[in-house]
Amino acid sequence: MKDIYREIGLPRDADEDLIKERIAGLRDPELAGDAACVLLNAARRKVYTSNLRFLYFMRELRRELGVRDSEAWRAVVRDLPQGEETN
Amino acid sequence: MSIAHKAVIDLLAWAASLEGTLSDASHDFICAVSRKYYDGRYFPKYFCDEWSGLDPDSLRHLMTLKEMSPTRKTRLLEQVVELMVFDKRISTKEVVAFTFVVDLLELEWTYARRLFRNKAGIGLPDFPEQGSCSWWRDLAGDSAEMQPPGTPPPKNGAFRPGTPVLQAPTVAGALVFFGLRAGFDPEELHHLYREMIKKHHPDNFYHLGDEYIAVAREKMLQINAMYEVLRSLP
Repeated sequence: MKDIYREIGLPRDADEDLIKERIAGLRDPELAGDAACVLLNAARRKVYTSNLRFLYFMRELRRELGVRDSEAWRAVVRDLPQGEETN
Repeated sequence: MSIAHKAVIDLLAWAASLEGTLSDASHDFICAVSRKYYDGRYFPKYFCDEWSGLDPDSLRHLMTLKEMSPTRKTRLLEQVVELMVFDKRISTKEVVAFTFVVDLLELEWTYARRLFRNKAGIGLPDFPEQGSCSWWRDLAGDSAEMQPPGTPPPKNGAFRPGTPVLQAPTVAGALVFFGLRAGFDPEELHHLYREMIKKHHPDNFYHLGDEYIAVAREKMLQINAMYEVLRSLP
């Protein structure tokens, strides 16, 4: 799962105008499409953000408890940036 | 029920409760619970804001699951799947929590998927070893109306977030449910039905409280519905 906020350099509380402005400046059409699809719909954005935070949480929890990283889990977080949640 | 078992259920219930549409009151409640239980002692401060609805004792007990015998592990996973199926709708977060349980028990994902398919009649995501995983798109929406425009309809029986599990039973689903094949012996069906009824009867769960009784009643409805589908076959 991608962290679109981080990929396009936006805080999680960015308003719609800022999101549109950032999307308009993106060179990668796929990323722009993903960002528009997820972030410009309030309901979808809310669920996406919630799920994103949940994934970061589960990753930290796994590290804390020393749970193995299976292929299934690695596939889920393959596109998630390394390091701690920044927003 | 062991404490470790309860811990798994806590985890799944917690994951299920974390929707993107928490009311302000629920949000405040979870924050208050987090502050009370965690206070930064068990996990980094990072966990202590609003995402820590888990009981810290539960988390510690989760680790004891690793020491269980393989037989007990598989039985526990079966119970976890049953619990998720009872909930009727499976959220994306529950599936993520489920992968956590599978990994904690050090079981194979292929086994977990098969178990889910047999018990729930739906397929969990197939996580590819290579190539892109479109799961983040699914994670972007927990209901059909939130799917991105142009999203193809799910394949029959494939997992989508918020998939209702207890759908109207089909003959194929009922066959899988009872572990039978077409052309089965009606006596065998009746025997399996009786066995399931005995196992899941609500009377067996009185000592566990109302929640379990309610769950058992739902299971009985499911068993009866599946049985009727096969019994009425010409």
